Amino acid sequence: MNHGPVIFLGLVTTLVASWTGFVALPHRQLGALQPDISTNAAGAVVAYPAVRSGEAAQGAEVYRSLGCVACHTQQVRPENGGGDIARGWGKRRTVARDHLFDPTVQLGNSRLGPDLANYGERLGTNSFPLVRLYDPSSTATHSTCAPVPFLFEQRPIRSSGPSPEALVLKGTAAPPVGSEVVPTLRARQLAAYLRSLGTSVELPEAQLPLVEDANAPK
Amino acid sequence: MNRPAPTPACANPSCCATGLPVLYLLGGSILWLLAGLGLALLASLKQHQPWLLASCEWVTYGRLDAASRTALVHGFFSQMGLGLGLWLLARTGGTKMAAPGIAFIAGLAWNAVLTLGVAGILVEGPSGHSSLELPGQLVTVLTVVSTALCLLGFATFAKRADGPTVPAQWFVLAALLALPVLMITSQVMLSLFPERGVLQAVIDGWNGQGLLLLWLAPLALASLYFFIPDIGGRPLRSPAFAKLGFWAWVFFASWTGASNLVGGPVPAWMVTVSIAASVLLLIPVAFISLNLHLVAPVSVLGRSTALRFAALSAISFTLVGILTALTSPRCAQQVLGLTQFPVALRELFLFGFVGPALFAGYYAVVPKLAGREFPCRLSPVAHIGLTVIGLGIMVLSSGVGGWLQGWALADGKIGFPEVAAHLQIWLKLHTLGLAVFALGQTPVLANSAWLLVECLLPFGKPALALFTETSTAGAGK
Repeated sequence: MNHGPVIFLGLVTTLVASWTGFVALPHRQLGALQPDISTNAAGAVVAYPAVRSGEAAQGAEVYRSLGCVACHTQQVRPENGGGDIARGWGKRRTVARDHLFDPTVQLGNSRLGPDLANYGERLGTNSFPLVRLYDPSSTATHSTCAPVPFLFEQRPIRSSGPSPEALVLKGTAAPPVGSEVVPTLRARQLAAYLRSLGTSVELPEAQLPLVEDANAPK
Repeated sequence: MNRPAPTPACANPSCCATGLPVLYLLGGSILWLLAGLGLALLASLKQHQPWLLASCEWVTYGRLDAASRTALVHGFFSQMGLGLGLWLLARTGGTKMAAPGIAFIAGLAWNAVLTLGVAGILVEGPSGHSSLELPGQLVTVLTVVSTALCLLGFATFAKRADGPTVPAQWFVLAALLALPVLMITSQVMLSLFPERGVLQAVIDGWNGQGLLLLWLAPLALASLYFFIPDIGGRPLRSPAFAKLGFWAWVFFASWTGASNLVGGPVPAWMVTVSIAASVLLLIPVAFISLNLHLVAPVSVLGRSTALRFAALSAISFTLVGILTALTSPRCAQQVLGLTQFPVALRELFLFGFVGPALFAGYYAVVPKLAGREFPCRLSPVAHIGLTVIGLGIMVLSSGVGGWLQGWALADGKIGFPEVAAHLQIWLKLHTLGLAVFALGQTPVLANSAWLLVECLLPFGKPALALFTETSTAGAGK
């Protein structure tokens, strides 16, 4: 192994092989992935996933820029791969198609906080509690989620009366008398994004579990 | 250090040409180490004290985390590794570094870009890709700069004197070839023309593993392969083992790209291949470890600071190789993946293996280039002592905490708040370990700064004399 060219060629071959395996082949396999087109119960043709629109799409940028991905994953692992589904983080595993239209895919690699792949679905029909962003410990005691008070504005209550958007804050978090805390545009965008997170759609590659019949014999 | 005093820098012409850019890269990396650890310490504190500086958007946990990783990986590990790698190519080739002026300018650009980049992460937020958090435009500049530096490495290698090549050269070449491939691919496919969907995560994972195993690890191994025999005074036990270890390392390491995506929404074959490669990495780990451990028996460790750091590095290398192989299989990753356990392995790899290997080189090379020994002899002892204690606390707290966190998360009946609450104590311990570790790195900065002042004094004296003469003359009038 005294010859530079031999070492050089060997290394180039190894790197090209790795590049082919981990960049080119996955691109070939997934690069042309399309949304799933199906007909829903009402007979309308729907595409999944849909491109996020308006505030939710802008909220994805807020989510990225605050580095929420440092603590929150957006991937439900298969049933035989940990307790994600038993924990209620999703009804089925996350598949590649779920993230098709995310401008920046934020799968995440740490679960200091809960998984958010289906956060919007967990909220149900409730609106997103904005107070959770201002003071996470207000809704989940001992939460270590980073508060983002800079997405809110504390201002004197206007003569026209308190803003309908003002947060209901108690205890030490409450603003001084005569002031109120209202969300800024970015807070509303982030809330819209979190509200939009959900993957419980049946796909050919990921079936939803059958709804168990409560009366069925066990 | 009982080694004979190094020859003065200018007695050897090869040192003068190579010295300045190498010293610049090494010195700059020490500053980044301290900056990165400061950011990491703040981030670690915020893991359990979320209200600390909460009203300041710049120091949100997510941004601090990304900024500290960037400062450490690109500022400290990469820069010091590159400086040592270029020095090693010149030294083992018996030649001068090619175009030292360009190397120096590239080093300046590297640091300027990185400073802007880390500031950019704090102000604008990270890119969202964990292996390359810097803002896109800056990555373009960094890609050009790093490619230029790697090309200079090749040019230096091409100028080498005839004779057999040595393992240190192979490893540096592997690293210098891998970095541009990783940088250009991730730059093009994540930033310029971003891939759609989870392909981003695939490329991010491949780039991240590549930066650790094909860029930093070969540079660290080059340092160990060169300095352990050089300072220990014994030749490598087996050249055949070195060859096998090298090729097996490069081959298996390049196929571990998706090992952090177990259970994720990516093609299953990629994960399977990556797990297999992570386990098979035990083969090169065994070959390399045997070769290194046999060369440096405990009896020679007292000889120099550099050897002590090299020994710490070699032990961590073996340990992290075995732990990675044991915890890579799917059944282990389903529990330990996405917890603090991978953090422990990463810290053992970076701060236990790569860092000490580079510091072995630092303590050996800087006195040669500066032409004088480090002024304080106690400082390296404090450095290695606190490094070992801090690293031990960090790795154990993340490892045990992550292990317990993983098992708790796998049990769907335990509520998430409870899991998070039980993790608290381990996160606090981790902060303590990190604080000790960071404190342990300050002596090397002080020692290096002192050395710099001593080196500059001879130039300073005439200037000072000139200044005093003028002022006395001025006063006499």
